[in-house]
Amino acid sequence: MENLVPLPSFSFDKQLHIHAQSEEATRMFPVCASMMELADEASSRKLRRLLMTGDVIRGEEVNVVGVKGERILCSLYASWLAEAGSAVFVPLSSSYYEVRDSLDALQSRLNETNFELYERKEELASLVYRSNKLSGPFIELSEDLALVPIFGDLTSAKLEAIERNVFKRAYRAQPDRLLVDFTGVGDIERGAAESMKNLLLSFKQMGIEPVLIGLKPAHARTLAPFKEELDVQVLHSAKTAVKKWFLT
Amino acid sequence: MDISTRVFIKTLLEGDHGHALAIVKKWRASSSRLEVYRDLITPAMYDIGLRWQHGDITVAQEHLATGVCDFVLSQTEYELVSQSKSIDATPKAFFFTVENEHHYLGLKMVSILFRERNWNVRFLQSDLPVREVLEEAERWNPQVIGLSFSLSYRVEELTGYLQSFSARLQDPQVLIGGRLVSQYDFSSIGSLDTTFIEDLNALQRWFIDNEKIRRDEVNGKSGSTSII
Ligand code: B12
Repeated sequence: MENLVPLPSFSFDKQLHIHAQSEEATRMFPVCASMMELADEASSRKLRRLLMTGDVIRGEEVNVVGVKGERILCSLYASWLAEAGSAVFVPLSSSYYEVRDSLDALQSRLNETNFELYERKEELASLVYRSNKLSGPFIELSEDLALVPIFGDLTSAKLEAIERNVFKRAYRAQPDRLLVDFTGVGDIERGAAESMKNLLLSFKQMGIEPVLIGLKPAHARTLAPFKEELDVQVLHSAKTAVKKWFLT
Repeated sequence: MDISTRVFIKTLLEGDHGHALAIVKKWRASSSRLEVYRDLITPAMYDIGLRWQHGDITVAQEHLATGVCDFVLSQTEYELVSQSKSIDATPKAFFFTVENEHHYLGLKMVSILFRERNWNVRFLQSDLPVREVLEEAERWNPQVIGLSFSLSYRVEELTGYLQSFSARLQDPQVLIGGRLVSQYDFSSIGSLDTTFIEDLNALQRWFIDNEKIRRDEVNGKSGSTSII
């Protein structure tokens, strides 16, 4: 029976002298008198400890010296019956080595990523987002009237950042009118005009009437294509708007 | 954040790259690279070796830990990449692992420390037969060749490498490190100028001595006196 299973197996005594071994054992390992000679020198203490405890061993790893002097990582199974010990060394399966190799390949790709830079980029991105968000604060002037002054050049990214905050606040405050002040705006980026249109339409959907103030001629020109669809009020300045809705 | 070796080992074994890197960065805020390698990473890997000996972990876990360790090491090197040298800048140091030697973490640390000290460094981390290593070394002509020795049963091959160096190369300084250097006798390697370096403290001393010798040489040649 023993010789039919293609695994290296040994029987030995309390002194760990080998008494018999399977064919597979002879094929894989050099012939040894003692179990201790089987182990790689840095595994011998471990092997001795495992065998001498007298416990049943189910799958502990040991490096065993192969016939060519190579080290073979094996799982050890062993037990004692009175004075007679028996042990089987199961070499680690080839699938382990395959997984290991692909893990290594993955690893070396990961190593090539400079995470320092990556993190800085992320940091920078969140900084830009924050600054965008702060470029369009939502200010409640009265129960019915709110103001969103926009600062700097208008980009889609900036509008997106402003939008999240402003929508939340506007939803809660539910003013009748929202003044969107362009006095502090420089250029309007191409795609941003379209985003602006969507933003303004969304306010309308929420039952809030957007009013554009402080538009410069260049802004008006950029927004012109959406003028009809938008159908929003445009006032010259914050002063006029405040006079009209705030002081009455 | 707990940045103890114990927690670092845990992150290695769990394959937690992010946490491991965070710990190393925290260390770096107040410690040199050498200190981080000597006092955190090396003890962690040795401890992992002990855990395997006690049967607490498997080789697969050890492998995962190695991967994470290699990753954090690479990250500690990136700040130095910007100061890459032109191919002929001197002094040059050439590191390689001998064929079928997959233990390279120690050597990698050492190569990074050389780079930190402004050496022009090459680290060949692939399985190279001695013939190819020699050709490469002859072509590049480094002042220092460094290799690592971790597997006791490969000592003869290592000796073979050294003998070929001794026969073929001009006069490089050869540095040999690794956990086993103190335990073997390499007297048969010929006339090679070889230094065995046990750990990073010894490497530190070697750096200091070597820099002194270099300064003296420069001063000797130019006939000027040292300002330092
Ligand atoms: C991690 C590890 C691995 C990793 C390799 C990691 C890697 N990429 O480097 C993996 C999982 C791949 C591995 C594989 C194997 N390993 Co292994 N491994 C270890 C372990 C646990 C730690 C090694 C380590 O990374 N140490 C940390 C480094 C930083 O320390 P270091 O190398 O000593 O380096 C320091 C100094 O020595 C010095 N230094 C080192 N090199 C140099 C060079 C120069 C020039 C200078 C100046 C200084 C210097 O500076 C470093 C900084 O502090 C050791 C256990 C141990 N006690 O060492 C076993 C160990 C070395 N492995 C061992 C074995 C048997 C194997 C395998 C054969 C297992 C197998 N059956 O597959 C394979 C062999 C693979 C191969 N062909 O090389 C045995 C060696 C036995 C022996 N007879 O020598 C050990 C001792 C474990 C054991 N108890 O059985 N292993």
